[in-house]
Amino acid sequence: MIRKLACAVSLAALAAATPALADHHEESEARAEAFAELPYWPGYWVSEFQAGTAIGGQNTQVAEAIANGEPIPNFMALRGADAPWTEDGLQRFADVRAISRGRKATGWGFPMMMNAATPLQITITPEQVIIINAYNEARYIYTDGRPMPDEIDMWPTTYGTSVGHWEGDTLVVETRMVTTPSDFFHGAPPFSEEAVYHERITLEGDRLVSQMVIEDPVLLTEPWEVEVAFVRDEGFDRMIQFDWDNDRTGFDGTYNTIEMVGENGTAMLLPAIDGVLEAGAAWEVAWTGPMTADGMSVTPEGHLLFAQEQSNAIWRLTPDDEAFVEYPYVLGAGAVSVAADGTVLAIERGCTDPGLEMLQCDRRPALMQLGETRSIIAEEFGDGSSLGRLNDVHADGHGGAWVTQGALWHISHDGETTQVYQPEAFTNGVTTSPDGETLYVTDMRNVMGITLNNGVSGETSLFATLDEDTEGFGGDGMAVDADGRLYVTGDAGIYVFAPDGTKLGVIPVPRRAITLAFAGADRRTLYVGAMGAPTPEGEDWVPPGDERNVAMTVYKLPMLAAGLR
Amino acid sequence: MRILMGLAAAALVASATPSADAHHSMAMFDQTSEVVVEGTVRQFQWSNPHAYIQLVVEDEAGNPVEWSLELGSPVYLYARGWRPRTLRPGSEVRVRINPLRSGGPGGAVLDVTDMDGNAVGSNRR
Repeated sequence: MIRKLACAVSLAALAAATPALADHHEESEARAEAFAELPYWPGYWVSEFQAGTAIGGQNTQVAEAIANGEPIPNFMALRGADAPWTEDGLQRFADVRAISRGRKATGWGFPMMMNAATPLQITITPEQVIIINAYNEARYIYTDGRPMPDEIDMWPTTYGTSVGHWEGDTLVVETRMVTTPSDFFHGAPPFSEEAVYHERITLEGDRLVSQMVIEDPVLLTEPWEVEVAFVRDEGFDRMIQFDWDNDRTGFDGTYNTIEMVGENGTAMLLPAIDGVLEAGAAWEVAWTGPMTADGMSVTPEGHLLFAQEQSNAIWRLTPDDEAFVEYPYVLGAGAVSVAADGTVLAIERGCTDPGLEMLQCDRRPALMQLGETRSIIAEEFGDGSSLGRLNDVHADGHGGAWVTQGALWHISHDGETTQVYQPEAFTNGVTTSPDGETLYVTDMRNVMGITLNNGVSGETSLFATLDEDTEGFGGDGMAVDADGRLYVTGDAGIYVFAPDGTKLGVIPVPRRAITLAFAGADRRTLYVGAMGAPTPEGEDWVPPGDERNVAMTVYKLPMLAAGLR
Repeated sequence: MRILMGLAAAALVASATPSADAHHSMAMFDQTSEVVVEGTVRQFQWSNPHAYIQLVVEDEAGNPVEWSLELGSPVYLYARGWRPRTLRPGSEVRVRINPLRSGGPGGAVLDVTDMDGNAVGSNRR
């Protein structure tokens, strides 16, 4: 019953629509006829003297002209070097050139897109012509008979407002309200926003020719006539839209140059490690300084934290490499650890730094809770003795932490200290697996795994060995990723171990790394703190006296693996 | 020894005024000299407005140096037969360039060949 009713309704709808369909049919026929009368300019049009551009971007026509002693073609006529500028116009032309060195851009804009080495596609319909290039820069030219919009309905834009009409097979275009072109692209002419651009575009054989006349009552003494032409270059089979996302133009004081990567010793080929590190990844310098960047951790929003003993501060380093003091007055800040609930714990080494001039102070080393209010969690062992020169800290998520100082200790939220592991050599880094069931601690070149049951430590066994380190102090900083892989800093670089202890690889670091953490909003940036730093002259910093060299460099590396969030 | 193989003859006249098409002037490169660098591709940046070959090259002292070798836009590289995977990390190549005037380890690419001298991608034109 319902189906029958639906059928009846649709028949009625069809009957009612019939006159409209007839109108539509007539409209379609008229439009098809209008289409048939229009020119058809298929293909990918490249500015005439740019055709043949080589893989390095070189203009082959210019090179050939020079080699043959012929006049160099004016391949970028629209730059306006020959325009009849007023004195003000000449000054602005010179001003734009003077600031153009090293300037970056995001596209060509109008009118330069009509003279660039970026192919254009021209779509002609009875109502409008669309000219679009491979950077998604588009001009909409209305040919439906409308006049130029009222001035009150327009404002300056990068591509302006265009209205056109056909005179036979010639497209006649008027464009107004174009933002000063050199504001968008440094190589463009500095016309005022009062400029009016006239174009007459015609196909002449295999060349598309545009006769342009540009009027600028502010900056030109008379209308400027200039011709640009386009040809179909080979090799283009579709309009691929490219993002303009890697402008590395720099300026060295004399010449433009390429902004370099691979400086400060980061020129190295890193091994691809499945699921961990992609081939081609590279270290970048994120921070350098004459004082330490040790005991790293990460804030809930993904900013790196590091401890700096000599400045008595915990620093924050943003993904944009901006560094500032997050927690000042942390006496002899040795390491910081942010628990899953955001609680920030840090170790104060007090005045125990052996590198400085025998500091004297009454404050004892301590495990601290930082934040809006600060508290000392512990400053002595059960027997009342000093905690000594605390090395590293890893928050346990219950207000306490594991700390290393000779042995591995657990300090509960109420300050109770328990020895967890007595090393054969010495402990250094400490961390836990993502599931909280394994505690890892370094014992020189060995990494020990200790089972945890509700935070209570159980059996200890050898988890892995830093087998490429033959001398030196062995393992130091440690971190885990979300999949449970363990990362340990050693002389050979960052050792990466699977959750079962299998060595997956070693990531070399430009300098000896001693601490590391995953940071960034998605935790896919590995930061390491490494010993030594370059001076502005590029030499390794050496302290003037006998004091210990505590200069450090923080490097960062984009990872496939992600840290814990 | 896989460092540069010396300067070739001046192929072009020095005062080639506005000698480029790209989004910046080619004056930043010394078009009167040619240098050949050999090394291992760390990264092929298929990016706009220029693509780059990041090539790790050993200097005379045997230290790795990363060269930034500039290509044109991928728009034109595509038309010349290049694709994003034409070069991969680890590829060993020999690249002929016009070096940067600034003296930095970089230049504008003229052509790319593998270690047997075969053209990589397409070096047409």
